Amino acid sequence: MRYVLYIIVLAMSCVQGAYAAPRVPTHLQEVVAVLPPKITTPVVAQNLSLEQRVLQIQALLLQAETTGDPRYLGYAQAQLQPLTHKAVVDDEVLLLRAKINQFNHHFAQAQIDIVQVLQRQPTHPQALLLQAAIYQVKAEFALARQSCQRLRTLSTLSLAVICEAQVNALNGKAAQSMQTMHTLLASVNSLEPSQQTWFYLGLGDIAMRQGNFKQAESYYQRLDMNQPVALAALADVLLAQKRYTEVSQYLRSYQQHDGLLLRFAIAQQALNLPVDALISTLNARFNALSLRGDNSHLREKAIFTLRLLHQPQQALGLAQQNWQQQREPQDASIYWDSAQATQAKNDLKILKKWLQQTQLQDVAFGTQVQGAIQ
Amino acid sequence: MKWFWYWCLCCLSSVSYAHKASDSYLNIQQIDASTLHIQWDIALRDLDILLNLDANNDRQLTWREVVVRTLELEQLATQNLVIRRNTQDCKTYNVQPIAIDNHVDGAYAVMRFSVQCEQQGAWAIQYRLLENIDVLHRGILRWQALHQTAQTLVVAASEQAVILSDLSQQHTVQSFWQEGISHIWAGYDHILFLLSLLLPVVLVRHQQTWQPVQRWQTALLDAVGIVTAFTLAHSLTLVLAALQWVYLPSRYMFCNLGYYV
Repeated sequence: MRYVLYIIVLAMSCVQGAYAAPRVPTHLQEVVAVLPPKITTPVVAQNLSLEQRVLQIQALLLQAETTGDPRYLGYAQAQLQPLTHKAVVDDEVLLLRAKINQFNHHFAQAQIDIVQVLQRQPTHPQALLLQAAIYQVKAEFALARQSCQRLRTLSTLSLAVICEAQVNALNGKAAQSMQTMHTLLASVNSLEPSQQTWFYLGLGDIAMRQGNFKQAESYYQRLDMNQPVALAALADVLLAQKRYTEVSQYLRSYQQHDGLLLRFAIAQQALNLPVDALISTLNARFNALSLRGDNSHLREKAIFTLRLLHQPQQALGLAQQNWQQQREPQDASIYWDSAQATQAKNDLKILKKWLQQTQLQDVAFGTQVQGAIQ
Repeated sequence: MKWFWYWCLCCLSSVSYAHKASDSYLNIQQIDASTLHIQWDIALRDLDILLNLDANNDRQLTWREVVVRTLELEQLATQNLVIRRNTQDCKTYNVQPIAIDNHVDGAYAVMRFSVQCEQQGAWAIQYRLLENIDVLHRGILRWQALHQTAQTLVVAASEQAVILSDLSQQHTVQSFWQEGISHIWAGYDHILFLLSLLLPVVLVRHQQTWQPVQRWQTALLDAVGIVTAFTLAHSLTLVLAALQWVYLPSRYMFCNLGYYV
């Protein structure tokens, strides 16, 4: 009888742990929340001119990007809405909307706005770059290349070259792309810091797929390491070299970022350090996302499910869903790994055919595939 | 121009976000014929946007800074959440002291109160938190009507009220029935497919020519058989596809649709 009671108490305490009850703090001085820096732009609707409002939205999007916090996207979108209730929506506004949709992985909606802009201004550089980026994520390389090629005007020639090199790098011409990018390396210092970031991230990515990890790392090291995107790239190249301790050091203080926490947890696991708490945090975050119907994290969720939960069957389901949304090399990689772990012949066949068609070159993943194809 | 380059940077980035977009957690439970208990968790961060809670601007939100604004917080709750039954607004009472709880993206203020509503009629809620301020904000609503299983709804802030559906068994069967009918009627392809299946029902092959059937009962029986077979087959394929037991690339399916018909 006592034993049964123990079990009941234990079970209840577990439930309590999972759903912590609301509490009333006892001290007035207790800090209940550390708030992010105050947004400089007022988000409550005001009478602003189009230019002012566009500037405000741009500032919010910039904040979304640099902090990695989607709340700023929500604010930006709210600011954008009144500008879209017009018979003819301005190109600038359409592009901002496309950008937000791209952020939220609503690629089809983003394309509709981009096409509208391009109908009016066929060589609009931002529209073309955004279009190329979306095609690239969807692995529509021929279309991506077309968008890049349309940038080949005098003023945006360098953009066209970088844009094309990046597409080609994923499409069977990695070595050539590397050379092209190298020729631009000399003039990189004359670019703005943000331009350099863009360039080095692209360059590092090509090097990494070619297996030149040290080279990739040296490019990434030139980036500002406070940006989540730069840290993630660096962590990936370190993970590829099994340098888990360094990954762990770099990412320890960035655990609020889902993508970085995932990499941190993978490194901790490889180091045989306890990961249960990290797993439950990630689990709670993915659950919170799916509760609100957000499925833009399918790739991360698939990686998490395979590498940390060790549930290949579920990971495969997620990787398949993700494959319908986006087809970057990392998407192919997690799809391949889950399919291999479950011996899903059909999926492996689909992937092999896709890899042959695209001629994607990626050492970490390519050798496995080539082995499997033979 | 600087902005433009950040754009390019975004194009490259495939890293997902640290925090999630804003949510509030709204738990509504019917206690008796006319009373609802409500617990509403709103992120302190969101409340700071709305009410500027952090009075001294040090971004360290103390419990004092929250508690002294209790009245405004309660007002905010009643202004942004209206529950109606039978088109009548429910009345808020029994407001409990504000508490704090943690969710994955930080600390939330927990507001608990009850509302008194009409004895019967359809339930509706009007949810307007952060309307026109954060488009990605959602209310995660857990609604538990008396003697029914709880359901979870995701609501966006809007002037438009959301009707809370009845989850009784009778209602579920009815809604499945309605969904089925609207599914078939919604696409011309279903109707055309059925019609093409039904055309031969009134004909019979006799001495190498098509003859009209003699008895209407034969045609009726055939029609019932075909419609039932179609329903079963279509339901089966839907189940297989929805549960992802069978997956076929859609481009091949659409190309060959004519062939299958």
